[in-house]
Amino acid sequence: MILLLAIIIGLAATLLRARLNHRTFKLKHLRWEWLVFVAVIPQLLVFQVPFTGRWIPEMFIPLIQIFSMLGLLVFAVANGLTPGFWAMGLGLTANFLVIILNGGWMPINQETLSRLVPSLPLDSWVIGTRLGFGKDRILAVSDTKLIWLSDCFVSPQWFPYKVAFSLGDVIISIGAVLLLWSLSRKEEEKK
Amino acid sequence: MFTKIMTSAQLLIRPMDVRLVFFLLMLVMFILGAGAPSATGH
Repeated sequence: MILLLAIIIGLAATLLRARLNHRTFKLKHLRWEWLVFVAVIPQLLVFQVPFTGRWIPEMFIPLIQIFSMLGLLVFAVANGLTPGFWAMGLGLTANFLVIILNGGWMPINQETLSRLVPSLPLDSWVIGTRLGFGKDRILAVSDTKLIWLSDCFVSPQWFPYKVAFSLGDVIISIGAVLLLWSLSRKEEEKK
Repeated sequence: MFTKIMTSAQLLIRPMDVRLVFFLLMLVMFILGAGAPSATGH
């Protein structure tokens, strides 16, 4: 949800720029677009569709997660020269590294969860368990590898949607905005 | 009649729009797959 906000902001900004400068969108030719769909559909079935997500054993989820992200990494590298893709690839690499080093799950610690939901006591978050049906597993700080790449940031209190996110998520969002912004560039800028 | 309908349809659904929708769909899919934010639902 928080990442989709980047797409909405980027799209609104680039639409406004195109309208103000009387430009039309010029879409970059991307290589292997099909790979995104092939790589992400298993993830959607695991994390976004509750009906199928419940039926997939947890032991298979790290494998699905890692192979899916590998497919996306190949796609990001193949399109690395497209504006924004270098940032999206960098963010993806950051998330991939922390996930692969922590057993195929994005780590989140009790302190972050406590900041996210201050009304619940710290020990209500059980270490070693999966957080809902998402990509996160609750880990102790001492057991988390590359903790600074984990879901350690929390949306501000005034923000209506409570979410924890990683540095990789921030970089991916910046990349998405840059990519969308590049759609309304002047013709000569695109070369 | 059929040609008229097709011309109107082509004006409404231009290839550029279809490509843009596909591009945005691809971007949304990429972001969902690459990102890992977590919400608690509280």
